[in-house]
Amino acid sequence: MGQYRMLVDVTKCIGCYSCRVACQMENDLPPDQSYISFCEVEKGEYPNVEWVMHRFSCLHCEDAVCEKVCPQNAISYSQTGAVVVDQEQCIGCEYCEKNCPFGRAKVELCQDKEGNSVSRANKCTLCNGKVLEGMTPACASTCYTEAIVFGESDEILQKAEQRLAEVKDRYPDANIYNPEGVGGTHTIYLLAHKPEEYDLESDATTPASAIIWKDYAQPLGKLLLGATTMAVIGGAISNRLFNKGEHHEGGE
Amino acid sequence: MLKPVSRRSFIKASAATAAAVSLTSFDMHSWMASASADEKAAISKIPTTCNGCSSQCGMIAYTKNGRLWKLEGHPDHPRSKGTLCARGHGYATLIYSKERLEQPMKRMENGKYEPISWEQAFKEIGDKLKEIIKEHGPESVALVQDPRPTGNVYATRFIKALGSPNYYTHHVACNNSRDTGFNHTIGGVPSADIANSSYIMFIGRSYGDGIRPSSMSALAQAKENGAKVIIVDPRKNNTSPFADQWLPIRPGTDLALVLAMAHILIEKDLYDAGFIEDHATGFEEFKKEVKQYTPEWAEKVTGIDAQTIKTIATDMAQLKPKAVIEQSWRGAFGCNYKNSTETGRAVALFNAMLGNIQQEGGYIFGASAGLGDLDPDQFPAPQEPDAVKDGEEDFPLAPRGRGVANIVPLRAKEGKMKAAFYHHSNAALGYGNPEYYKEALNEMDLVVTIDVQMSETALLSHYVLPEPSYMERDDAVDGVGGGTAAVVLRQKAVDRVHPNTKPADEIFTELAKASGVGEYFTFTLEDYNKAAVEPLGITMDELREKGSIPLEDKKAEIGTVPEFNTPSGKVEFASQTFEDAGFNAVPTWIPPLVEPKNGSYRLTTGKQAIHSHTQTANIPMLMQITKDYDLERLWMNRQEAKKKGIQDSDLVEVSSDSASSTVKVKLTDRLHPETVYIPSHYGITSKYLTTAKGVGFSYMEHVPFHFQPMSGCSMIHEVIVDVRKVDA
Repeated sequence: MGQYRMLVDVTKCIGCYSCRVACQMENDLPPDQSYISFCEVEKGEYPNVEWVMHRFSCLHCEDAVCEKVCPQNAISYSQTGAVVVDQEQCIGCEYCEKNCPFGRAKVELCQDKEGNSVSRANKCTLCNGKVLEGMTPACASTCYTEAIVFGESDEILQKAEQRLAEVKDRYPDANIYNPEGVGGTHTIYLLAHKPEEYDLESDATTPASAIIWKDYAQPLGKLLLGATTMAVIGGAISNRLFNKGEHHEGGE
Repeated sequence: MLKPVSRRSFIKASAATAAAVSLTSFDMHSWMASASADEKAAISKIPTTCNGCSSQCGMIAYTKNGRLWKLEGHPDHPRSKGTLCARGHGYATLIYSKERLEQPMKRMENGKYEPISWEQAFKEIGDKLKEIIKEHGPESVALVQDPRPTGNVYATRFIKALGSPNYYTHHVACNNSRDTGFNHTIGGVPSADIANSSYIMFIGRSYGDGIRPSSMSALAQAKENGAKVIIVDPRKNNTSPFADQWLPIRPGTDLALVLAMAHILIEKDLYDAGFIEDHATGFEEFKKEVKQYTPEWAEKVTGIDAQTIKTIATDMAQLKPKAVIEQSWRGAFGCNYKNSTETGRAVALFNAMLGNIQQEGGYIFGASAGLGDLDPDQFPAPQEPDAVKDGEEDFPLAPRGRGVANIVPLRAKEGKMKAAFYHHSNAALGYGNPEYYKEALNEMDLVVTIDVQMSETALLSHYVLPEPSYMERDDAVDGVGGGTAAVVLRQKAVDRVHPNTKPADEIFTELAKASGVGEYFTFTLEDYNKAAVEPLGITMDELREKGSIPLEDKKAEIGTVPEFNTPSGKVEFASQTFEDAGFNAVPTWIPPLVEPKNGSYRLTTGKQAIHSHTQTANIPMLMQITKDYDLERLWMNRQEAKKKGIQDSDLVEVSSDSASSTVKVKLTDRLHPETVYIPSHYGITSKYLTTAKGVGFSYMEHVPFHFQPMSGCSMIHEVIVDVRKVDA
């Protein structure tokens, strides 16, 4: 169990995109790549309408499917609780992208140290390097409404419960999204509506097949066929085994 | 002061992401790659100020090997308080924009712009200016800017040195109407003490869209303390997560709502009679006037039911003085409607009736920094020009210092204004109808634009003079007023990318010399800055190190009602000045200039959190957000769209008497059915700004070139449009 968690309280998000840009700058991302995406939910009819903005990024699962399906062991758990990609090891096979239950792992064109164009997994790191140094992730530290807060795991869980109680009157369906099926997550959400309203599955899980794949089939296959062959055939197998999560994006 | 940072952490972070650089965007990847690839990167932190909007928040710039890496909000700056908005982070990448002005440009006879030397630019501009002044007098010259610290010192001095009174600011299309209303009632524009208020009403102003970080966090604080928050806006804006109630008012009728609320306070005897007795004049006249403005009358005008109006007015009175109508900024009565100045007066007076002025949780007149100035014996200042500023006789109530900038193109068409300087100002797209501006500026003998990119105004100029971006230059020391005043400095964070650019202090100094008034510009920026901080007991070295310094001995005095900056020294419920200018002494209902009917709509506009004016539209980091989420779309009420067979994201034609535009539509239940809403940052037409060109349309194309009678503002919401689906 890692030490830290992030709470995204969608009832406090004003959709200002400051977290996106702060994150891009912190992580040297270009304008068209972002670890954070947004969707908005409008409920009701004029003039009785509620508007909620949802800012979404990697959840950093305890039992991360991406970690299990990666044939290169390029994805690992940091002591902070973050799920991180080692881009030196990544070969851009897209298993993580295709199997993330939340559609958060992305493989994008990157540039390696020699300046070559390469495909690499690219996702939120929960600012692991900053956190290891005792600092706050870039998104949380620029959020003036405290829609994004970061801290010790237990304190954040308590904070989420406290906020849930506070917003229940206004949002009767409010809930904390911290799916047990993936062992819990290190970015948790206070949602104003049911997860399905944001295209999130209530019962997102790490499929048993992924566990079998990671813990049994891969080691056995590598033993019998060699690592390279196993990596090549893995794409086809994993794509059939696991479903790709899809999310609509949008927002104002 | 700052969060603890070790150099090692940055090296670690940069190593982890060194490869994560896109090939899809050449702009970013070239500089980001070289900033991050070197694991031995030298990290520096430079405190400076943002230029993403007029708030000019303090920020800390982090550089790697001399290139900008990232920014954080300055913890000691009263407006950022440690955080920054998206513009604060992203606009700074302007440094590395491929579409900046790199050298002085001159428009040739064939209409094309060609680079010239600074020497040639200064000489030709100076010669032309001397010729114009000789022939038509200094009153034929104007200078217009969106004020920034160096411009406040140098541009104002330059125009004065030429002998012209014609100095103007962008406020004609911002908050001139509000200020006209506030100035003539309570003598200025205070700030609402949001964090300590118990009941807050916003009229048009949205902290969640036109962001100042400290204001947004103050509102979050107020909510946590249990404050009630009401939003009055035809659009359920992005502040709504922090609001308890949305009043979807008919656009242009805010004045009726406030007059009816005043009516309730008087009818039920709920106002602060002691405050009125001691600090106000003309209240009896005001009482007589508002007798007719019943909540039932206001319901018919505004669409807000009478009982709601009564309840809100009564609740606010019960919580006074910790109840407040926030002072607003541009929306909804900064420059929007024919009645906006009257709305400004009514809002100021309603707050006065709550007795909240200079009270915790109410309206606070802030302390000012009290900067020093140049020694006039050593550096003689130019005399005040004899002539009256053009427009002052037409609009005597408008804020004098700022003037009415749209008088310049009007006088140009009349053949009276011959030369204009536009500094940090895209007036031709931002202040008034662009077609009108184009025709008018083409009539002038000399138009000079000083900017960082080839704006629409630059493209109407004879000469275009390039400044370094705000991240590459030092500016004049600035004071920030407020609960605790502060002194701040914008300073160079990275070396100039384009060495042939010049900062405004050098440009105006050289222009002055070339125009024969160089004797008023014998000082350097550093001379001015030393003089500015001198009375504060702070050295420039300290200010350079800290960037923002709160002045603990310059605090607003809370609890003591000040003498008001009005002719009577009191709150003026009836104003002789208004009467002298030909208007009613007391605020009176004025209907909007135009009304939608038979399926037409009022075109309304407002800010988005990721953009500022039109200046940020060409920044890839910010414009990409617009493109990712189609933020340039026209908002339309869902039921209204259904009537017209329009579906979400359909292409629609928006047509008015002035223009026709095509754009995608966003259907929403967050909008009053009588209006369609367009974000105010789009419709760039300059071919030199390829990231922005062709995205969305400019509302200003539809705004007729007209003046609000009291303040001279642009009346940007007095536009009726038809909307129809464009057949595929």
